[in-house]
Amino acid sequence: MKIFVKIKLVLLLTILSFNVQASQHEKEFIEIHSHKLNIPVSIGFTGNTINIYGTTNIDGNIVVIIKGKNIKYRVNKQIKKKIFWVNKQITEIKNIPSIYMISTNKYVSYDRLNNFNFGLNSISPIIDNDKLSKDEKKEIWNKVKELKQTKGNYHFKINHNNLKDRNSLFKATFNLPPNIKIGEYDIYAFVIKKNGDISDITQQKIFINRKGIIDFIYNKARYYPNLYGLIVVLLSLLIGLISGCRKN
Amino acid sequence: MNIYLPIAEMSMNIFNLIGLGGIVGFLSGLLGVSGGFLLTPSLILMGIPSSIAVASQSANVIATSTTGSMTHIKKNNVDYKMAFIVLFGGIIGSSVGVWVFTILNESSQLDLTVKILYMIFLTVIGLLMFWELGIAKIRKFKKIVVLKKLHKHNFMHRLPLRTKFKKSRLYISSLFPMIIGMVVGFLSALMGIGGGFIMVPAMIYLLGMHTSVVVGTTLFQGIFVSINATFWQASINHTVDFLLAFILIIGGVVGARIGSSVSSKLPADRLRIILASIVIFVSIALFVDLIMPPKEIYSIVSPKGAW
Repeated sequence: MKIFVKIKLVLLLTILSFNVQASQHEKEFIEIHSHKLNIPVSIGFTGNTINIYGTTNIDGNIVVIIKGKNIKYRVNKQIKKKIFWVNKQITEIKNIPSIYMISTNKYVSYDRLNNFNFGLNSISPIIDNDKLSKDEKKEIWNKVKELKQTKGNYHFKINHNNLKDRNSLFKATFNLPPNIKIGEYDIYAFVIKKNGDISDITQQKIFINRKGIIDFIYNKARYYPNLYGLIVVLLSLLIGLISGCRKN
Repeated sequence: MNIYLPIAEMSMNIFNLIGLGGIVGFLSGLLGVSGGFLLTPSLILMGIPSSIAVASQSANVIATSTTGSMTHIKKNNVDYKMAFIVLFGGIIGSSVGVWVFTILNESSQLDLTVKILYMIFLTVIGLLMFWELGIAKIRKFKKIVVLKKLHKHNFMHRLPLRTKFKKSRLYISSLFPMIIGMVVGFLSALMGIGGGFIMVPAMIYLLGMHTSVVVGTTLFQGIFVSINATFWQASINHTVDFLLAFILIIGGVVGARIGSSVSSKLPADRLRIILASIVIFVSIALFVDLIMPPKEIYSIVSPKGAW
């Protein structure tokens, strides 16, 4: 199976390199292709690695971004009451992506990325809480970013080796964490040219779906909770009865 | 080998889960205790969110109570009249418990509440186990024989709605068993336990029931209380992870069989000391978890429950 995947990748890279040669005198372009378009979350899921292969004839810094859908979170802060640390719900934060991963082959600052509406600085979280000052809201957003980075949901590696500049062919590798949300993810790729402009942005989608028993349990629990509750109760009773019969 | 838990939305080592279920099942088979009061806090300490641990453990309780009560039904050790009255209270209590669970979960206070409740109950259980063991040792050493009355007459005998419980040889008010059922049902929903460690002493010491019918009656009504709690947890809170419950049940069943088969070969007294020590240890671990400054004071939770 692995050999088959490798052959597929070699063929893909060959095709892409022909593309580059053929289009050397053509207009600027950047193309990407993910080696997996559907990533299944099955019973043994512990995260996944995704490789984005691409080609470009543009000279500059190649940027590849994976962005998840915007969702909302509840932000809690632990405070000490007497001797115990208790949770205090501070606010809700909306409009932040579940995943934001960036890969570049040369250093690029957040501010620079922000100029092109990319990077963590380009995210505009909504915190609907009038009791919080502007600074407090900023602190909360910074903390959320830190937490997401710790969990591997926000990932920004620059000047690292997983993006290879080889005759205009490149590969970006991303490690998707085990806590990744199910759904549609956007992949963006572009080149920051030497003159500071950016190329056209190319985009692709990947899908993260539950499979098998994981999909069955989740869907029943979420969308048919009464039926799910009934199934759980009946199965538990059945296991108890079987176990009881064997015991007796 | 890791397994992805669909409701908890996290990966856990399957052997750790089977091992935990197995150890608790082993102790349960060996010493005749339900291990629910150890299983839920252990899951929480392993990193499973309290909401998932409590609700999934309720499904586990259905299976263990069913298995346990079958033996007692066959031996005719169940006072059905008493069980249905306790159950009536239990259904009310567990329904209220699930409602309180929802409120606590939405206000992010569930984790703290569950940990504090477990800390209190485990400390009390552990100390009582040591106390009982100590008293038994002293009595054995001094060769003291204690003669007990079947039951004492107390305020319960003056309460209204008095009824006869032929099987338990009691003539008491139905209100008191119902209240006990309510309290235990409430705690069952909130802590994910069968409640035997509260119900059994309450039936013996407060109601004056005969010990031969206490365990069977407790287990029998426990099936329906945990069914009620599990159904509402699944229906309202969406926090029952059946895969997690299933793994724990399998581990528990295997462990209980091994435990019961070796129970006659191992020194029960020493094992009870070990169990009491484990209970105290888990209680201390929860206490430390509650008083130690957290590594990160901020946390974020998706309203759907996962990251």
